[in-house]
Amino acid sequence: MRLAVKKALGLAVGLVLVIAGVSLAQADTVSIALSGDAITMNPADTNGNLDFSIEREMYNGLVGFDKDMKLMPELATSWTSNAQASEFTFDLRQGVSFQDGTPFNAQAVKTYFDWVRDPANHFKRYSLFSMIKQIDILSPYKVRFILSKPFGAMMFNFAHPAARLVSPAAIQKYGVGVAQHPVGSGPFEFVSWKSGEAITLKAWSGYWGSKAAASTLKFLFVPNAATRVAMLQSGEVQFVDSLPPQLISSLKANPNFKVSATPSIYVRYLALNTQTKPFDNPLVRQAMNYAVNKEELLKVVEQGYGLPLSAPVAKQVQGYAAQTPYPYDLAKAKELLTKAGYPNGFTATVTMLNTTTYQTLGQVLQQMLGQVGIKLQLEPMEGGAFQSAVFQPLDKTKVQTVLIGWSPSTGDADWGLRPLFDKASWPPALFNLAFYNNPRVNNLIRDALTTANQGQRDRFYAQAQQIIWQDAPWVFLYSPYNIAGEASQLRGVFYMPDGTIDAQAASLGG
Amino acid sequence: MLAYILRRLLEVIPTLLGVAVVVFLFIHALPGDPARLAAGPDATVQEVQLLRERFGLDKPLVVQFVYFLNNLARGNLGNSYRDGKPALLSVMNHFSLTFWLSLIAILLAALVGILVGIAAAVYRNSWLDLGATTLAVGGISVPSFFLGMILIYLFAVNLRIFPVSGGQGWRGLVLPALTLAAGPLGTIARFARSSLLEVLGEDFTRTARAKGLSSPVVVFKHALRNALIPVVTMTGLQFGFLLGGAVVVESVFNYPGLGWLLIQSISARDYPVIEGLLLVFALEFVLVNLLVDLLYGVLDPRISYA
Amino acid sequence: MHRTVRKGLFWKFLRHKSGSLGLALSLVFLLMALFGPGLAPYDPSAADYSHTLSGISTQHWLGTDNFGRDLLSRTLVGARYSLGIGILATLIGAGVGGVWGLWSGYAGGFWDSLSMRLVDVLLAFPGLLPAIGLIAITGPGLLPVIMASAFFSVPIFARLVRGSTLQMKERAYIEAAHALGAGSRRVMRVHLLPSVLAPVLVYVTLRIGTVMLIASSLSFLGLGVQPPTPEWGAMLSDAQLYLATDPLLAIAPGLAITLTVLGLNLLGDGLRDTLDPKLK
Repeated sequence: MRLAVKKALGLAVGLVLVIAGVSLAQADTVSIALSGDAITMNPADTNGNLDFSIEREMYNGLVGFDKDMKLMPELATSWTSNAQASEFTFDLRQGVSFQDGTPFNAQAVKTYFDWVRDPANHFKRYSLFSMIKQIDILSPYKVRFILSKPFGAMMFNFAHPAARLVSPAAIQKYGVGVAQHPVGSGPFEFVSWKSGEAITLKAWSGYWGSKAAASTLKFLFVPNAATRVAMLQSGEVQFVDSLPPQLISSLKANPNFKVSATPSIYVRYLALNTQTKPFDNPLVRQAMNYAVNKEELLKVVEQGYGLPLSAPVAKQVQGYAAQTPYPYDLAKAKELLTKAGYPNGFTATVTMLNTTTYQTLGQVLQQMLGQVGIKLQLEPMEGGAFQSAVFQPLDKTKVQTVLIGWSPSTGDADWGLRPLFDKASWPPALFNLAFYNNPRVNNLIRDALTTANQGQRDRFYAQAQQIIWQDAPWVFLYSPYNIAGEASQLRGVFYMPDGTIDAQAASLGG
Repeated sequence: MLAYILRRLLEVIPTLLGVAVVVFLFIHALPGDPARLAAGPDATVQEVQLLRERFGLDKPLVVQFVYFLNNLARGNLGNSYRDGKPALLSVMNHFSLTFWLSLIAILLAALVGILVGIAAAVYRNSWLDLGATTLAVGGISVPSFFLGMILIYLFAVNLRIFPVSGGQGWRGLVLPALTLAAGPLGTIARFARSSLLEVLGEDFTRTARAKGLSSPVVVFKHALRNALIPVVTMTGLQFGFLLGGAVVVESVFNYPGLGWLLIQSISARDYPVIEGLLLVFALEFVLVNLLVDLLYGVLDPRISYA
Repeated sequence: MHRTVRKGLFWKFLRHKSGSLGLALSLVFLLMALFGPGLAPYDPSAADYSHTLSGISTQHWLGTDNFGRDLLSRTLVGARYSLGIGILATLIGAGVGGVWGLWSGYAGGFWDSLSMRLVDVLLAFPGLLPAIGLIAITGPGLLPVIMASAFFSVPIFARLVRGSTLQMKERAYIEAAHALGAGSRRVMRVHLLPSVLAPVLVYVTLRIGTVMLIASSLSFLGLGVQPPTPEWGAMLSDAQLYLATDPLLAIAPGLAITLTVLGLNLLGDGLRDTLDPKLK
């Protein structure tokens, strides 16, 4: 009997050891927990940061962004454009091939961009490249794009993650099936994709740049934040995307983990419908900007991990121009409200998403604006309902204010201003949720597109930002940090300001 | 018997048709535009229109409904709006994940549940009975994500014995299966207890006892077989419910089964996948019911399918 | 029912150990739902950003949450929301479903089979599904949660009541009543209703617990009652992030739901055993 017990005990201990042994991951596999599911691996059909993050490890663009969102060469070594910003010529890197052995050259560039801008393919990134009229192969390593109209922000469209090149042979072979069979020229190549679970990549020895340190890169899809963090703590992953700021201090207290928090190009704001009462009065909108204590709000919502907005776009955006912040001043806010004819405030609804961040943000704004008599009624909605509520034309919309955020995926002021403040971008066309309309701003934004001279463009955008800041179609809130939780031995994985992850140099370097 | 099954299967058709119509109406009652959702907030009207054409949503609703019925008749639901793969294939892939998890959970629940039920019945009205009953009912009463959170915290984060995430081989199945088993376990134990008590009170058991058969033998040989009938029914029904995909447990353990797919497809307004899922749920429910009725017959020869 | 019979039933119930435990638990939480808001030391929604996650103290017996709200107050007031949702939704579901089942069973024939086919269709969607679907259309909130939970309790009660109705209909006393010339409405009211009531009572008790669990799952999915309402499921869901650092935030509402539902389930089982041992 006793022997049997001993045997059983021994077996149990052995089993536990075996189980524990298996959980020690191979040292050169880096696992990353993303905050959502992957949808496609075709850059031309991608619109989410998570997909772009994985694609970055497999593909290259002609140009890309460095860590500060400045343009840098990738597969193009140099480029020029004419003064009207309607012709762009690229010199291509030589001796590069795709992961299926297809050589990279001007023909490959033409094939990809012709594919993306073909409306018959119905790609989500069609309009980034629809202004391309023709593509000329000037030599095997020189290619020229001719646009149908001047477009001064075109270099940023070429740097956009959707402009990463797919192997022409793969396009030929899979067509839209590239979404599940990605072939690029980057440091990692595709291995497998388990739907809803993970995408696995392995290092590719034929990469033209510096070779990957990790042999395997695994992206796991984990929407639930608490689960994501538990996976870091249990050793299943080494990098956690979108770490809730509330968990920073407890992770930092443990020497096995570290936290990275870096500025983003994301902006959060309360858009005020400027075409309806009471928000048609700029005094009311300015008063609301004075009444919100941004530092306090950041502390509560993001544990301080963010920056109060100092312009309609975030600092890292090309063309950003700093403005004088609206200080927290309740007396001034009340004075302006009285002047505008609302001494006792008013009631307004807030259309918003029902995610934790927006719920918290909404509750804090409610309390802060309540101090000057502005009673906010929060209307949190699920994503689909939210989208159908805000994408209504002015004569149909029921929206008074919208609490939301924006990230200009091209990293340029054009995409940080035009979709949000140009009259032509009123819903349902684009995202000008404030129905803001200032002819001077409209012209400045449009003029900036007619030149390729970056200094000239920046001056147009600086003027536009100054006017917008004065007109205050938004309550300007803050730009959150990109926050990640990491295992302490992880190296070489970081956030770009646009919120995508760069893991090309990932390693478990101890 | 065969005629009975056939008749039952034929009866499924009107139910499924009803479900299909309800589902189509439901989907189009959802606020939100699939094309705009897929394109993202920074898409131009042009891009949204391209997607609308890609999804076939540019046609009038009546035409869409005819297409839907026509496709349905040929067992085709179209391609997912999210990833472009055939919707039915997606549903089947994720179904297999849910199936294995549910099977392990239900086996665990049935095994432990029946044992607990027997113990409680044999020692009826004792403190053991009270303890076992309370524990079993406790399994039904605890919110599954609360139980899941606690298991993750204890066994994955602190002890590091099992992984948090469900997608890592058999070890990944342990914690979600335990969490999922808690509810059915309680229900099964409760049923086993009351059903056994009932049988133990019946004449033939008393006769067996009078014949001098010792108590455990009576319990196992005579009473159990009869008592098992309602327990099997209950287990089958519970299994059917589990096959619906446990939205909450799958989310806590990051297990991409049917519940996961449902949440994804509803938030993306992925009509073909939502349709496929709901039809599969309905079909499952009907088939499990049929299966339960058939098992009933096997266990109780008195029931015949005239 | 005669007085002594009632008294006898009560004593019989008290001898049922787990049933009595259930009754005790249910009473405790019912009292909490009735008087909790009066006993709460703080406003459960009042944020205090200078005292967030304070831990246990003499001012805050259970500590505060990430908004600096008093956890004890939120738990006490939460009883009214959580239990209230369960009771309201179940009563609405039982009421509508009961009338449906009674009518269907009594009418019989074509209408009966048609209405039961409809019940089949509704029952074909298991568990949370109909609730998720309905709330996807209406948007989240207190009222949608109650309506959604009530909605899918309807077919369950309809089927249950129809079954009992059919059984009772066969019984002689109904035929006798018919013979005496009572109208069909009177038959339904006086004779059918009481005999149908016992199983419904048992099922209502059990169902309240189920609905509470469903409501908490909906909160977990972000489809439930919206903040800052202190519904237990919502509190538990918010506490997920703090399980390692402030476990009490999860344990208080988690235990509250579990014990309430446990109490209701034990009570329901006890009632079933006492009222009708043959019932299942």
